[in-house]
Amino acid sequence: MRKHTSSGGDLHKHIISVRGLKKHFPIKGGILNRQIGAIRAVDTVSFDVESNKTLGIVGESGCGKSTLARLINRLIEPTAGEIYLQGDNILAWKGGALRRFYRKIQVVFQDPYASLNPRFSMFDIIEEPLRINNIDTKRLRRKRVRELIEKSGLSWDYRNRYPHEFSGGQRQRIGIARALALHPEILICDEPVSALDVSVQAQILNLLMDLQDEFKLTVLFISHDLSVVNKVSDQVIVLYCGKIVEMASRNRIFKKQLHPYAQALFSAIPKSSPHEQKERTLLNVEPPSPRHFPTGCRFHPRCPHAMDVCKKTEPQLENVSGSEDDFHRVACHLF
Amino acid sequence: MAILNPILSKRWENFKKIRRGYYSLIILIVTYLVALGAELWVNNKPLVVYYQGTYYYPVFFFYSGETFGEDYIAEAQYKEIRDRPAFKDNPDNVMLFPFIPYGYNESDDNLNASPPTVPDSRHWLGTDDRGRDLLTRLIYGYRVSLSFALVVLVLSTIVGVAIGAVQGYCAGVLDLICQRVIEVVSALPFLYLLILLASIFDPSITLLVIIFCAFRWIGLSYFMRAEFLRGRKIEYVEAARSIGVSRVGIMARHILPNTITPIITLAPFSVAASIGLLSSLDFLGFGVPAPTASWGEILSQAHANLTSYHLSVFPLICLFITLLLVSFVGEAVREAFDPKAYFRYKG
Repeated sequence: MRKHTSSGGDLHKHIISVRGLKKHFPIKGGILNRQIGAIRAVDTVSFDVESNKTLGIVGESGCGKSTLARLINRLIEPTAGEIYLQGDNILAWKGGALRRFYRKIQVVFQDPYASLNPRFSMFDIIEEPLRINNIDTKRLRRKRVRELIEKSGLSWDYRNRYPHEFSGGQRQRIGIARALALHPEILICDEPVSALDVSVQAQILNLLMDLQDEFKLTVLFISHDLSVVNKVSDQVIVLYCGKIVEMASRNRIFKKQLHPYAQALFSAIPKSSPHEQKERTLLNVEPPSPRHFPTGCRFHPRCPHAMDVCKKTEPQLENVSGSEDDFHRVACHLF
Repeated sequence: MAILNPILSKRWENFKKIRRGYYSLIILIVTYLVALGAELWVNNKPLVVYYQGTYYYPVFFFYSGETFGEDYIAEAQYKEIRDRPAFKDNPDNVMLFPFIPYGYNESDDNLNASPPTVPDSRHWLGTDDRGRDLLTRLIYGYRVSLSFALVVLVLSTIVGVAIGAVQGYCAGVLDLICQRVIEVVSALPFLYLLILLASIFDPSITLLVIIFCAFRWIGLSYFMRAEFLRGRKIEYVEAARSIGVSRVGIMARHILPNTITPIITLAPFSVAASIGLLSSLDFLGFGVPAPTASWGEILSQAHANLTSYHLSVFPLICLFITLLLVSFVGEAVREAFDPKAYFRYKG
């Protein structure tokens, strides 16, 4: 997972490319229930992910991380923009093509207590994707489910148990096994460990990384926990109010954050030892209401370096590293 | 209880602990099964006839009058045949009648007073105004009431679940339109409409079932709509969608099994309401068609014959006990399904 590619070549072979993706949730009101505004949950987001790499998506609560995941998984329809899977625009797919598409992108959900149907046994849960897509005979499916269960670090003996009989970590393993049943190419992990306690988090992350190598997965890893993102990601995107504010390789961004918001966010990583010297950047103003984002740079009311230009013009995402291969893009007027 | 999932079997255990409801359910089931086999023990046809060296089983098979030397081909009148000299003279001929030897639509011609007669050793609960045995009418009436209530329950549950599920899962405009239609339908006065329809069409049990179902599903559909509105947003439903499960599959396999609480909790109360309503319709004369045994019909006779106490007392007792038992079951089910019980420690 951490293999860092510096050579070009396969850099342009993106498995997933997002272009200008927008999702605006309408706000309705008034007597006629007309649209009186919109929550711009995801606003003009573009990025590429290379095959077999992990993209970490970070940001505070409500910044649009999960909306982005749901858009890519086509659980909700975007307002505008395109998503390309190996060069195909997936938003154009319907019916059978959409079903086949679902085989390629799978999700690991945040809450292992809500993402498993309490009325299905572990075997049923993992077999369902195969059954629904008519893969294999019943007998072969059983074999495949067994393999998945064992690869996910679960015991085949527990196959007839129901979700409530498992611990949080075990449940998340079931969720991972279900997501991998269809051999997807892309795995979206929507805060897969935030509901687990720390020792279990490490186990699940290691499992995910092992399985990524084995299944040649491309992972979109959404988290608000930066130490987790540091462990798994090759590339990191920082989202703020539905927009990408900074985007770089893991090595670069964890070494030096450029955007003032990213600096504040990364300074919130807890110290690993009490003697470590660490400066904490505090933001005084509350995050803006998603109904009325500030004009210009959306971060300017909270930004310690805000200038006049920040209030008027919205900064564009620009590369400041000088190298296209190992880019460091930031949307800030300071650079 | 292996087929049930653990939560449901836990609830079944909880239900069994509530003795009043559990025993009420057992009594209702046993009496209903006994009443279903009423032809075997309450009937004016004999169980076995031994006639001229052959055995006959009139409860199960049809025999014309000619079989027993009568001059008609309609069904044999066994009580008449029994009293014929041709039958009586041969001591080998035997007719074994059920425990209560009266049919639900059989007038007793040998009453020593004009009907309705009061209870005596011949008719334990007396007879109605056409000389029919009251106990027999009550037993057959119990069967009719409960069967009717159960059929209405099953059909209206299917309709209510289907409509509520589609509304809740699809939400949006479809939900809005359906909800307005439901409000219109539920604003119609049920009893008046029923009386109106019953007087236009020939009254039949099928018609009654249809009319009852046309109104009964509404209450349940509200609950199902709410459950499905909640259910469609649960993560495991999204997970199901992202592995490519169809809409119907999600509704039937993923959401529905997790929404049986309102279905089961409402069921006993629906049964009680149907029994009560059917009785009141029968009382008014708009219920089941004429010869069918029914409690409400006996009560309307009681209204016409106020001096015959047995016509009002016995059906009322039956009605009261049945509704009480059903309500006990309903109360116990509701308690067994109470989610708060999970958070309570046992003392």
